[in-house]
Order: sequence, then C-alpha cells, then structure tokens
Amino acid sequence: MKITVNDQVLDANEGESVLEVALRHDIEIPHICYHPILPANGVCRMCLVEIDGINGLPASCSTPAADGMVVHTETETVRNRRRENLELILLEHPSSCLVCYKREACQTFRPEKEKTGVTTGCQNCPNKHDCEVQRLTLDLGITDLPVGSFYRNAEFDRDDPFIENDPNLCILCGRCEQICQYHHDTPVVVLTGRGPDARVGQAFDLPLNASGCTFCGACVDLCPTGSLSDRFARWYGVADGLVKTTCPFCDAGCALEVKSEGHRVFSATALDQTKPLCALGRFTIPPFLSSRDRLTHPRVMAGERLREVTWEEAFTAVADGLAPFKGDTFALVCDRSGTVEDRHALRVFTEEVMDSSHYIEIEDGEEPRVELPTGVKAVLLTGDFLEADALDALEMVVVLDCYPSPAAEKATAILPAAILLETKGHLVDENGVERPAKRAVRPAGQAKQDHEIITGLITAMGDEGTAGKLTGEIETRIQDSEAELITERAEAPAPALDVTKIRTRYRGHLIAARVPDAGAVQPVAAPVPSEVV
Amino acid sequence: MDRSILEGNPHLVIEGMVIAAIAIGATEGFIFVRTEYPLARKHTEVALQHARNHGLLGKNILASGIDFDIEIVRGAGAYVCGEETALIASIEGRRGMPRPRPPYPVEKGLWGRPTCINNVETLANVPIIIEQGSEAYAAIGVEGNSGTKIFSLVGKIRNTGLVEVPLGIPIRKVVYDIGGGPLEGQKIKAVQTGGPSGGCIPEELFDLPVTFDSLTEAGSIMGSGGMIVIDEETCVVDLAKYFLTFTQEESCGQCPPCRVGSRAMLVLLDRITEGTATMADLDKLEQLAGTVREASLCGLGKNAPNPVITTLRYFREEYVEHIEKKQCRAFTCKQLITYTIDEERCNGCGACFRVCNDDAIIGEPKQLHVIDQDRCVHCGNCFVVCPPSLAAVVRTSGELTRYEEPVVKAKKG
Repeated sequence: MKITVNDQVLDANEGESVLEVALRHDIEIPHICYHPILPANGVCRMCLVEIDGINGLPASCSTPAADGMVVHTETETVRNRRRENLELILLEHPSSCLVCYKREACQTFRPEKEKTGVTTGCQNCPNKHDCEVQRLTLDLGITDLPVGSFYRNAEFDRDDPFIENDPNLCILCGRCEQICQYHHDTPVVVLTGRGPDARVGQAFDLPLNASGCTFCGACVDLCPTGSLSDRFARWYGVADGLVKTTCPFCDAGCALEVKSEGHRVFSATALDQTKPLCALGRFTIPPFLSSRDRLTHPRVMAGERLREVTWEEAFTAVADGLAPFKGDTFALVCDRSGTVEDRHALRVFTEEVMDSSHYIEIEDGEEPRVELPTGVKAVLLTGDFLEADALDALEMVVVLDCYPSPAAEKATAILPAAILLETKGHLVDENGVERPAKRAVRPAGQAKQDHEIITGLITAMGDEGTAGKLTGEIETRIQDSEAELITERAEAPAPALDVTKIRTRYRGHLIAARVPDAGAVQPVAAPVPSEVV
Repeated sequence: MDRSILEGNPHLVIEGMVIAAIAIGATEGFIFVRTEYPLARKHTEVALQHARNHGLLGKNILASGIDFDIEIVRGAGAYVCGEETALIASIEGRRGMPRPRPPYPVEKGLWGRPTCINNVETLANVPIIIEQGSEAYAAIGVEGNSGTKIFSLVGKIRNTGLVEVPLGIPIRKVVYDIGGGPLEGQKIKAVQTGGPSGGCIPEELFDLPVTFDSLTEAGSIMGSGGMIVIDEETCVVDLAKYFLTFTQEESCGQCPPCRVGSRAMLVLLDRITEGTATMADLDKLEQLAGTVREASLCGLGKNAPNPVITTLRYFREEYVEHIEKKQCRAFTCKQLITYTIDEERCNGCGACFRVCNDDAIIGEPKQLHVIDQDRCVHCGNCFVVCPPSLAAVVRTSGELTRYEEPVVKAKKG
C-alpha cells in the first residue's frame, strides 16, 4: 500500500494510521494524545492534516491509511489551525514561562531545583525538563495567546499514595484514561466534569484506593505534563543515569528502566509499557533505597557501644570473633532476595569456610522468622529474621543488613549491605531463568554487596585461596553472562492492590515501615454512591 | 419534535424500529431518552409493553420467526449525547464522549457491533413511507428534501408551538403565515434555526426554502428543528453569547478547540458586549471560530461557533457598532447603556432613588434626581421603576438615545 505525504510516496501497512506511517518515515506531525501502544484517541487535535478527498481537517492519528491517499501536513491552513489549537491548549496550562520573552535567560540563570508545591509555570513544574507541551510550544514558536489564561485553580490532590494529581497542569489529552483502560479494562483515572470543569480524576471523586487503583503508575508514565506525578520522583530533575535491569522485589522478573540523578535512584518504570508493573516495582524501590535510616557504615562493638570502623577493621573483628565458632555452632540465615551470586557466596562461606551445615535460606512467602537449630551459638544474619529471645541465647551475632533491627542492636558487628538496585549479578525468575541484575546506583554510604563482604571476611580469616576463587568465579559469571531482560512479558504481574499479598518484607524488614505510602495502598471499600434519581 | 413524538405517538417510532431491524437483521434496539423527559420515557415504556402484549415485539414477532426487542436507556442529561458515538458510549455505560470516526457506527458501533443509529423523527417517518409508498412520500416537499419536518417555533412571534411543515417551504411562510408575524410594534430581525448549535438567518433571506442544503449554505443547520424568532429588541451579539455559553458548558471536555476554544470565544464576546473590545478582538473571534469549527472532534464542537459565524456574516455592522461606537442598537447589552434622567419629565418621586443598590442616584424627594455615572452599574432598575406616566429615565447607547413615550392613564370616572 502506498500513500503520499507532502509529495513523498511512502509505503504503508494495513491497519496503520496516517500518523504512524509518517512517523515511521521521519515525517514529523506534532501530536500529544497519540501513543504507540494506545488505540488512536484523536482528542488533542494537534495531528490535523489535509487529505485530498476528505472534508475538513481529519486527525492523522485516527485516520487509517488507505492506498493512494494524498496527505498534506504543512499547508497554510493546517499550520494555522495546529498553532491556534496549541495556543488554546496553553490557555488552560500554566504557560507563563512558555510565552515569556525572558524565558531563555531565565532558563540559563535560574537555579535547577525549585521545591514548590504549586506549579504556575515551567520554572516550578515537576516536568520542566521533559515536557511534550513545552517542546511543541518551542517548536511552533508560540509567543502569545489569544486571550488571558484560564487557570483552573483546582485543588492539588495529594491524598493518595504514590500518585499526585495537579489538575491545573492537565491538558486533558486522555492518555491516562486510555492506558488505564488498556491495562485494567475499566479505567480508574477518568475524565470527569464537563466543559470548563472537565478534569482528570476518579468517578464520584473517590480516592484512588477506593476506586480500584492498582498503582501500576502507567498513567504517570504516560502523562505528557506534570499533572499526574510520582510523589517521590517529582522533586528530581533530568536523569543522569539510565539503567535497564530486573526488578529485584519478586520472581516475576519484570524489566525496569531505572533513572537516577546524582547517585540517587528516583524512578523505576516498566521497560515493556504494554504490561503494567505492580505498586512495589513501580513506586517503592527509590524510597526504600534512599531512606535515611539505612545502615551505611561498618560498625563493631567496642565495649558497650557500636563504633564506626573501616572495612578492614570490621573484617578482622568479625573474622576473629567467628573463629571459635567453626562447625555447627555457627549458622547463617538469609532469604532469597539477594542475587544468585550473593547467595552462592553466603553458602560457600557457611559450608566451606565455617564448616557448618546450618545454611538457612528462608523461602519466599514464609514468615521471615526462624528458629535456630540447637547448639548454634554464633549467627550471621542478612536481615531481621530472629525473635528477640532467640537473640539473647546467642554468643555472637553478626548483622549483614540494610536497615536497623533488634538483631542489629545486639550485634557484635554490623556490616552494611548494598540492596536492590545497588547490587549486580543475576536474579532467578519464576520459570527458573536467570535474569540480569544491573547496578543502577552506587551503594549507600560505604555499603557493599553481600558477596564482596563475604570474600573480604574470608580473606580476613586467612583463607585467601577460597576468597580469590570465589571472587574470580563471581566476576567471570557476571562478565560472561548472557542473561537477558524480559522485554515483552507474557502477562502482567499480579496487581499489588494489596501489598501484603506480594511481599511485605525485604530482608525481614517491613517495606511499609520504610515507605509509608506502600502501607496505604490497601484498597478501601468504596462508599456506595447514593441512587441517582 | 423528537420529544413530542415519543410523548404523543411512540408507536410510530417502535414500528419504524421494527421495520429497520427487519431490514438490517438486528435483534436488539435501544431508545435513548434524556432523564429530563420522564413523560416521553413513561409513554414509550407503555407503548413498548403494548407492543409486546400484541406480539409486535419480542420473540417470533407475529409468528414471522423474527426476534426483536427494544430497551429504553436513560441518558444522564448531556447535550453531547446527541452525537452518535457519544450516545453509543453512554449506552455502553461509559462517559458520554464522542470518539473519532472512522470506524463509523455502521461498521463498529454499540459494543463493537455494526449499529444503525437514527433519530427518533427519522424512524417515525419509516412506517409512513412503507404504508403510503415512497412515491407518495416523495411528493411532499421538494426534490432531495422530501417529507415533512416538525419545528419548534418560538420567540418573538404571535403563535408559538410545534409545527409540522413540508420541507422546502420558505422560512417566511413559517414565520409570518404560521407564526403570525411579529409582536405588535416590532419588526422581525432573524430566525435562529437548529438549536444552540445552529445559525442565525436574517430577515432578508426569509425566502430561503427550509431544506437541509439551503440551511447549511446559509451557515445554519436543520439540527434539532428549533426555530427561534428574534426581533429588533434582541441583540445578535448577546444572542450568540447566549448560545455559546450553553454549548461551551455542554462540551464533553475532550478536545481543546471545543473546550477551550469556545470558552475563549466567550471571553471575546464578553468583551464586545461590555464595550472593552477592540477591532483586533473581532478578528481574533473570527479566527477562533474558524479553528473551533475546523479542528473540533465532533459535531458539537464543529457547530458550536455557528451562532457567532452567522451573526458575524449577516450582522457584522452590529458587532462593529458595539466595538467602535459602544452602541447596542437593541438596548440589550447592559454595559453599553447609559441611563440619564430627563429633567423635564422627572417629578422627584424617589422611586428610582429607592431601588438604586449602588447609591448612584443623587436627589431628595420632590427634587430632580441625577444619576452619578461613575457609580452606576447599568442595572436598569431605575428605568424599570420609573412610573410609565413619567418615563423620565432615558437610555443612551452609543449614538442612540431612546425616549419612552409617557403612558397617560385615563382617569377613573
């Protein structure tokens, strides 16, 4: 099938829209509401074109390409209407910065971050660095608006977990509703109100968790303005780090696109946008990583207190302390959250170096509290796995963990662990296939990955041969890895409507305790709307 | 119109639908009625029950082997649901919002199935055509526009109400012969056809036949079949503003040209009626009207600027008068009217003085009253209360000054 766009003859496929054909051949037609994974909506009216034989100006996104079609995208009428249409869009969007004659100087000299709640222009918009409206406005060179702006002055909805909705920025492109419909059949985020009162919200103005939202965050990902935003990510600027990796939270193995700025991870989104993530994968990783309570420095018990020490001192202290407990008086407790390599190192350490048969790996889904085998006097814990009374019976506790726990208070030594996106190696998905885990950000403080700590310990114990072998093994394994990300998932992961059903704890720590929003995700019963008479 | 048919003779529509269903092989039909028309719904419900009782609806209609039943769906009071795709969305239980076509409802309509969607009046005509034959039906009206059409004839005329006329009849005949012409002492200025999305047709064009094509050519539409007659007492700018206020409030809010464009037009119209507009605003208004008309997604948006476009086309001088002379010749736009008190007529009765909410009238009882123009908000209360026997309040708008004739009551006895 051939169509002609601006005198260029292009080949088109069956079922493709005019816009898709043009974009595929690098002919730019401005568009906002169109998104490759969504069915054409045709509401933003930016992609209007002229087509010979069709009356008026059809939207190219919703017009299927037909053989012999002659399309004009840059005629005088099209340009004018497109321009005027964008001017109208800008009337409802805080556009002062876009049409301001001092914009360029302002962008150069203004400080980068502005933590203001209310957005009145690009300067304090969460999306100022990556905004489709901004880009279009500059492209079309709009410097004036037909009448004064129609600022909605609507209330900023901050009551829901993870997602904030500032209706004042919304241009009602409807992508959020469409993607919600696409993922979940019945959209939660919908257009409400009419005429000048139209805005994006939930039916009957219910909160998101009472409307059946699974907090997959797809609406936030697709929002072209800063209207729907990720509460944590909105305060960051342009990503200076972008890593594609596997979600470390469960064995669904969803591939993530992780953005970081200045060694802080601020957002994790789905690599395969056709399937939504769960609330954990989409929203909890950055806040969980960046909590101020993280254990960041190795500490060793000196007298009555834990004292900050260097890694060498810590390794020596732990090696010396564990030396008398070789054999079955030693136990190691870990869960399955770490990479394959980390768990391998932990097992080697327990079985070969400490010569103990008590390598205890907690299965996922189990209550992360274990009872230690009798006779165990020393324990290396990689998380909050022991009850307080079990701890009292122990002579030595080494904690290799990320957050404070009762065990950490009684520990002889605390070794801070790198977690989640700070680690590299492999994760195993539910089908037993290994998936790559890439390091997206450097570990908090001086934290190190489990296997690095273990090899350091083994070296300090004088067994340099095993340490060297282990390091070599792991490094080759990571380097030679051919593991691939799941770029197209067969099905969406279980919606994390109820976080308790998926994973409440990471290394024994309650996720909700560190990320309060995660605890607020539990669905609330929707009040029954009064009968419409 | 449609409501009157459903209230008065719903059987006609049901019969039309059954015929249409047989023609296309449909087994299910829907009648979409606004919640605001409970009587239409009630009557249709009764008619449907009657039809079912007589075996004219339901399984195996009149032992013909044809199954067809009709369900009534209540609309949630949205003007935009008159747009076919929005109506379909509403029946499906979604928000009444139009979607782009293609695919057209005949390919992919209700729940993705091919759907024949027609107006109540159209379907009501079907049994008549079948019964009398197409030739007899085509004999009514003019070529290309056969049959009759019901209009809701209202406004500044003597006889108002629903009238059924053959298509192709001149507007003049409807307005003057059937409508009885202007009210006493007035002159008819124009007629707004097609409801709020229609256009204004001036008196000069009243010889125009009422057909779909001629109305479109004149910038208006047949639309819902409304005919609102206006006379010299009505300001066309105000009229356009009135209809646009309605359409912009009824916009579903999806597409910017309709949602924001009509609102921006309204702002400009406000400026014109308040006397703060410039000629540049008029150009902007015209340009915006074009954008809203050409860029909107559905018929609501495409037709929303019609009142503005047609009044600009036929009554441009009135717009210009508003802007340049700050004059509203119909004395409708309040901000453009200045009230003064004629010192020879005023007897100092104090009526105006008492009703003025803004203390703009200075004066003592039995003394001449004066209106302080700086304080006056042009509410017109003083004009209303000034005794007709005096008619001392004089209205000025631009270059026009209007004195009311004092009404002298005959003394009793």
